[in-house]
Amino acid sequence: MPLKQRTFHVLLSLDDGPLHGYAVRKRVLEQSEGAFELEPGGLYRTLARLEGDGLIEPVEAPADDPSPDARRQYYALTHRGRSALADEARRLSRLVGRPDVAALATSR
Amino acid sequence: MSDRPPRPREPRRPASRIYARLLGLLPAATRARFADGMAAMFDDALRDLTGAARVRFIVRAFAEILAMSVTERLRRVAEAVVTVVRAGPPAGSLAADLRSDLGLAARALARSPGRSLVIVATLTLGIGLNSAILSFVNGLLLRPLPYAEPSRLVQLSETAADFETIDLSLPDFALWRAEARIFDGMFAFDDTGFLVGGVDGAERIEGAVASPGFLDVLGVQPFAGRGFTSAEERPGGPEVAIVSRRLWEALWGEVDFGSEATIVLNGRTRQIVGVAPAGFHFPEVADIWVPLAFDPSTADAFDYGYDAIGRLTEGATLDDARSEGARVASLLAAAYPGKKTGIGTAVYPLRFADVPGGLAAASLLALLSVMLLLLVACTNVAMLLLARGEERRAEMATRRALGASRGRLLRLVLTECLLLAALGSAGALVVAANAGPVFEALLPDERPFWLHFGADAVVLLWTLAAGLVSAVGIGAAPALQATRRGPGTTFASERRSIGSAGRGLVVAQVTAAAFLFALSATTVRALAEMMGGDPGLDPTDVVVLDVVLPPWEYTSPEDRAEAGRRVLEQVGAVASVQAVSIVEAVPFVGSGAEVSIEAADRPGGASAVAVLDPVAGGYFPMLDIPIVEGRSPTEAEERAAAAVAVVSRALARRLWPDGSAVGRRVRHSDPGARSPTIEANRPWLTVVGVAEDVRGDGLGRPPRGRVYTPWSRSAGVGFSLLIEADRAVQPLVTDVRAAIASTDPGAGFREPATLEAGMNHSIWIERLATGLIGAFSALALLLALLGVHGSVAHSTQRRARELSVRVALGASVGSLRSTVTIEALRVVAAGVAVGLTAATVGTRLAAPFLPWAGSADPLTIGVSGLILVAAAGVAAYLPARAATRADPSEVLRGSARGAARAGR
Repeated sequence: MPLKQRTFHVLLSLDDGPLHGYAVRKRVLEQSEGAFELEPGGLYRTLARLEGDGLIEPVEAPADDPSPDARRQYYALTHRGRSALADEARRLSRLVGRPDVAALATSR
Repeated sequence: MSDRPPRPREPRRPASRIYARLLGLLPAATRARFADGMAAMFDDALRDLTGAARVRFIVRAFAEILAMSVTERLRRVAEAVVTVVRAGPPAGSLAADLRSDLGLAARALARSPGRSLVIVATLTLGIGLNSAILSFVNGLLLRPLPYAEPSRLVQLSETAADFETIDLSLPDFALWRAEARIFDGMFAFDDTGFLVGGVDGAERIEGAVASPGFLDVLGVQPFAGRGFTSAEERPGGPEVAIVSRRLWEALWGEVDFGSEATIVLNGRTRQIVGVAPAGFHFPEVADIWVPLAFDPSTADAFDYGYDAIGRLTEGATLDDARSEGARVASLLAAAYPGKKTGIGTAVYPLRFADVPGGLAAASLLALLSVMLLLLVACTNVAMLLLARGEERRAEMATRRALGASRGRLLRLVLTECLLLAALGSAGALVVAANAGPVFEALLPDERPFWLHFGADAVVLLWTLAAGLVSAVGIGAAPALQATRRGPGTTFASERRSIGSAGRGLVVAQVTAAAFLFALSATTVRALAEMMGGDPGLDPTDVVVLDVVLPPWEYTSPEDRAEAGRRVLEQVGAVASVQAVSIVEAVPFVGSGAEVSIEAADRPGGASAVAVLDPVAGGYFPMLDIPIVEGRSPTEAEERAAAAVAVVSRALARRLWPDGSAVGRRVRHSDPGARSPTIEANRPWLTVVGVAEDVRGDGLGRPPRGRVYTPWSRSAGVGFSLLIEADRAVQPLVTDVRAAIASTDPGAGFREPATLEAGMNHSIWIERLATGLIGAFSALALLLALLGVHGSVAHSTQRRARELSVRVALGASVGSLRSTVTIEALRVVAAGVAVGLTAATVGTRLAAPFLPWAGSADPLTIGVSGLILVAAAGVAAYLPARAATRADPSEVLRGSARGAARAGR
């Protein structure tokens, strides 16, 4: 099943390791070149849904946190999450590789 | 209390504190899941972001929470509905289950008859007032006019700079009819009265003159006979008339319409050629119509006294008509070079010719108010149902134990709510059906003949819709309560004055009540200013009587002036009459002819527009209008129809700001001609005095400049008598009529009225609007206060044990009561703040439609807020006081016994 863009970006941001709420927002903002500005409520709802679908799981905060805040919840990709992410990445690159789509991307 | 994770050690920023507060708006379940993470994310963002990005984030996060506070609750309601749907089709047939549901619901309501009755009564009131006001709006604005394809009918008038909208002159109308390509047909008309001759004196009957074809243009078929033909439009053509159905029956009874019926009007015999259908009294109260006969080449092109209605061709729009109007205006300017250059034309839908914009706006405002009242009523009912739901927890638990699913229980609760709403709607229909006569009594008699209020299909549908919305409104909270797993947070939570579920309802109620209160306060203040303002004259004990002398007996102006003088003498001699005068335009009632004014020592054309007010007799002393400079005309000047005048103070200041007006000369244009140019042959008048300004156009409008001239200069056969007498109206008028009839048996009279009534009537729309909104806001406030009282009472009852323990342990009773009250007031304050803000914004937005009300000023808002919070404080304090008055040991013993009985 294709993933929603927001969901894809959230999962992608976790690819390099577990992150907490604000860090996900920052990473997604940078990845999407400013297209997705996530708000707290919406983001946490998305994270809860992904957790319910088994794509991510809550994990302990890393020990080397400079300003610890026990309210933060860190999430990491599960096995299923990682493979869903890879599937979507493959689907998207096939899409972008199509001649008609590539032509649109380079046209004025 | 759950274990809270350790907070970060650095001090919290103000934005973070606000955000944490806002998180409290979310429902408890959502909060428990997400609040910590969201708060942490917010703090992290504040640490990391700077400048514009930071502000952006804060604004978006706050907005998100406000939106979520609503969407999360809706989400839970939706989940509850999904539960019902997933519960699947019932075991037995749908009909049998519905019947059993209804039976169960009815029995459940019957078990608490008092509460059920209160709920049904509240809903009847709320829905019923909605239906009643909707029938008002429906009759006024929605129901189609009783003509064929009424949306194609428009009213025409002309405009001139500085003058208010003027009507058409007959030659102008003829030009329109000949040139305008946008109409399938048009006609001119004017309402007027007729003296119908009889053996014992004349009777005045209301009627109208109308061009032939007026019935065709309107699309109305006569009940009998025919309409007018174009031959009857020529002056000197056949003298005919059409009568209304009720006039025919009054004069000829059951006789069938034949071709020989005649009637004597204004001394001339006319043949009756047709009878209008029942209920038709175009334009307002006409019972008789005669053809508007004129010759376009000789009729006065500057007598702007006629209205005109046209039927647009198929597919033509109002804008097309307006462009056509501009074209005709340029044709008019060309036909009368230099004289009609400032004249424009105006076209508007027929309905708004008859229904003043202010009344339409007021009726819509009343509708908004009554919808808010329904909101408050529904939240009150919801709170009652929630309280009852708690008491039924044992019953619900038993049902669950016996196998009922959550969906089944939900259906039960919803059926009860539907039943209550249905009963309320039925009661509401009764209210709406009886509201019609009330509205008709509230409106003045001079109203369009088609205006009726009753319960028709639109009102029925609205009542059904309101019933459904109410069912959902009252059922949402109890439905959530019924489907909750386990007790959870209840209506009356253990620690707060108003439990979490009740809190949302109280905030909603208080917001609506505060909005209405501020709105009402604004209109009351505006009305008080209007009524308290000095009208400039004293209407006490003054009766107004319109007189029409037979025109065929007084054909010259001198005869008419002499007749008027005689009438003044005769009436002055009647017992108990203190003073009498003649006017043409009764203050507050008549509008008075507008004229252009030119001052002699200011050459170069007209300097102002003013109202021409011919008066005779002791007009100024009778009404206590002070003459601030000079004097009023003497009796000799009146007898001689001298060229003198009195001007109003504002006009004097405008024309001669530097010196006194007395002794200066002015002249005015012909009262019929709304023209900025004054003919060279108009006579000059010498100003002999300056009178104080008078709000002659009504209390709601600023005074206009006035020029008072001796009535004898322009005497007509129709005039108004102002009679000052300390006596009851009817016997006085009988004597006055007898006195006049002794020399003029053919004189006609209209219904007398008092000047005071006229003054109050001039702001009838404002008074009606203020009264309606005030009544609804008072009801809403009462219901909201009952809601606050009930919530606090309910929760203090549950906390009785806790409170008693605290008292027993030495807590001061006074401080406990204040704590409870203040907790409740925090909830109320939130609602009041939102409601008052909404009222400030709302009145500002509505100001162009309701100019008289103005927008809510800070003083009104502040005072409203204080009153609301004080009232709510009392409503919250009373149950707190009652709960802490009981002897603590009694309470504890009682509750222990109760606990033992319940086997807990």
